[in-house]
Amino acid sequence: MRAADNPFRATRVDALDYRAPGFEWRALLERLDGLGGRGVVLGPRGSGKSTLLRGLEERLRDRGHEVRRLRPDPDDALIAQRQLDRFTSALSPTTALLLDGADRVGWREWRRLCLAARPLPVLVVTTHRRGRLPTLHRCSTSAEILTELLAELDGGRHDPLEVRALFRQHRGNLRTALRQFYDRAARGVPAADGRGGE
Amino acid sequence: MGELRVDLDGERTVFRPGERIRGTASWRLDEPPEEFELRLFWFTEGKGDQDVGVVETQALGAAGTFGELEFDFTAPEAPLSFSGQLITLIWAVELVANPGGLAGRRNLVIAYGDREIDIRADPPEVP
Repeated sequence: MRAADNPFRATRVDALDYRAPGFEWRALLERLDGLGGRGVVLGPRGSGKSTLLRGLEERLRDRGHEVRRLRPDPDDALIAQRQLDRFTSALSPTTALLLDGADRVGWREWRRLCLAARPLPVLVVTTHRRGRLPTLHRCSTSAEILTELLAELDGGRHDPLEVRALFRQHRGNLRTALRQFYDRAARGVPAADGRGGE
Repeated sequence: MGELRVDLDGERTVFRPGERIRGTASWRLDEPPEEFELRLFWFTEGKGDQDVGVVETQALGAAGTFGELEFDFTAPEAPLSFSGQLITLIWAVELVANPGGLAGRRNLVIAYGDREIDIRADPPEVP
């Protein structure tokens, strides 16, 4: 299968809406307002933090914010100061800052970022651990969510037992689980076929 | 809302490097955008993050709620269109209305043959 025809290609996965049991955007925005526009989206790798941040970006734009989202290169251990300087330059009173990966900001840079963001209405970051700001949302995953995403991406029916086993195999990381389905589709393994895992 | 379209002359979709890519961009919108931009660019699709390379842009400024414009690009030498199991590189001409980013796009192939390079294919046997 051509990469551009693969139903699990990255652009389709990136376009999925964030979902979690009982999750509602309205409630999240109310909580963000209640926290004074400051918050952390917590969760392990592949739990939907970046997806949630993308959805939040869209909703903040709808509220009239100029949104800046910084997503550091995953290969960089730490975000460079010059990257943060660009991120926080020429801010307007309506700018909302969304930082995807605050774990990779050193403490000195973090202080400078907080200082630059002080007059701004919104600063939301993602991290793997609690601490830097009040918790806005904790992302979690389940085999049921993976099943929903699979159905949305390829319209196929997947064996729930197999999906559950894959979910465990990937320790709840939906991104890597979906990459495994990408590999299967690339090799032409049918959706409901339980064989062919790596 | 509305519609933006890109049509290629003769409905051609495959171009050799150096050939002219000619066509018409047209738009019919409910509200006049602040500006239009026409671009020739490539993008990737596949397992990894998407890469994009814009090779030529034409800023059209404010051009009202409906109209059309003929364009004429030259197909670059590289990168050529290709596709494999992990990545596909696609060329396109796109008309974008800003702000809002409403767009119309026409994909095309830039290749020396009559189709994109298939990197899934077995390489020719070396005698």
